[in-house]
Amino acid sequence: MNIRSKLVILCSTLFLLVSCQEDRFKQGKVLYEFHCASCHMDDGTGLAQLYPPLDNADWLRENKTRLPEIIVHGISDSLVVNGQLYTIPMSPVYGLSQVEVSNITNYVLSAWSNDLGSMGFREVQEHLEDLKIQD
Amino acid sequence: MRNVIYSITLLAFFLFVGCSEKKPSKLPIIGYPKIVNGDTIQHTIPDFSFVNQDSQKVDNQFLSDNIYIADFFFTSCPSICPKVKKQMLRIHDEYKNEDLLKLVSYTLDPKRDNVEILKMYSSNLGVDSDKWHFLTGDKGEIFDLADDYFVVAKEDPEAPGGFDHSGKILLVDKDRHVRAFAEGTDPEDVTEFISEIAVLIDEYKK
Repeated sequence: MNIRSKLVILCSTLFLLVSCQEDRFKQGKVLYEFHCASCHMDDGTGLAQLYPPLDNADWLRENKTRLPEIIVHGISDSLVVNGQLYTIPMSPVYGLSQVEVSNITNYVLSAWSNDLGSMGFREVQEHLEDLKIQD
Repeated sequence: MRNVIYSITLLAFFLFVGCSEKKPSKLPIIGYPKIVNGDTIQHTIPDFSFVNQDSQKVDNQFLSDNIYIADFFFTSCPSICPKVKKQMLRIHDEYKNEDLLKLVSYTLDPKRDNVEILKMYSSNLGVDSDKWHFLTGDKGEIFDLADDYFVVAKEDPEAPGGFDHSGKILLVDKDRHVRAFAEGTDPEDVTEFISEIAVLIDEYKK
């Protein structure tokens, strides 16, 4: 193999890698926009003191493993997010599979300015199964 | 061939004129005018009377010294309302200190959205009840009025939250004429709408 074809292969691998990275949470993004963005907005900024932000939100940073649970069961606790009190309960998002919940979770954790790592599917599954046992 | 060149030139000219249309110095009156006894009557928002989040009566008389932005929503709306409200809030912030402009949001679910609920909603939105009125009242009257604002609104158990409605935001002048509108779910459309509001304000400040 000459150096030129090696270079071409290297470049295309790099390109593929980069483009795959961008689309890593493609399904999560589509599901987020369908189920969550009405209130939390496409850019994750929320709406005033009605719906909390998900982007750059201290509460989420500290409670990120609760995200799958909140998507599936909703939440009725009052929350303080970035110093603001939010009291409106969130209804559950019905009809999602555990894979879909996992995809939304991972999209939110890494979308916008968020860099909150990721949750493996197993981890998401365990959290949701634990809740079932508690019920 | 000559004809073809001629047609293309003409087309290009029309396109050029059509595209170069700049911001109008005066906004049109939206809606079909009626001809009554030879007089042209422009589409006008009819009389209404509702109460706002402070139990203050708000009617056309109350708003007669103001131009206002109107939209229809309900507080428990799970679909487009929050996105529209985000854009309404943008307009509110843009013209916060412009006393000529008010905002009016009519609830489509007056049974649930009473004065108390609307008060909570508006304070969570962080807005002043003197600037932004959230109105509730007779359901039939609100739905009839939506029609006059060119807003589609109907009760539909199949729709998310129980009501099917469009997310239009409208600009109404002191004479109750609708002068501009935008799709409240489209931020770019609202950007243009914000500049149209400035045109109407200029009309009154001249």
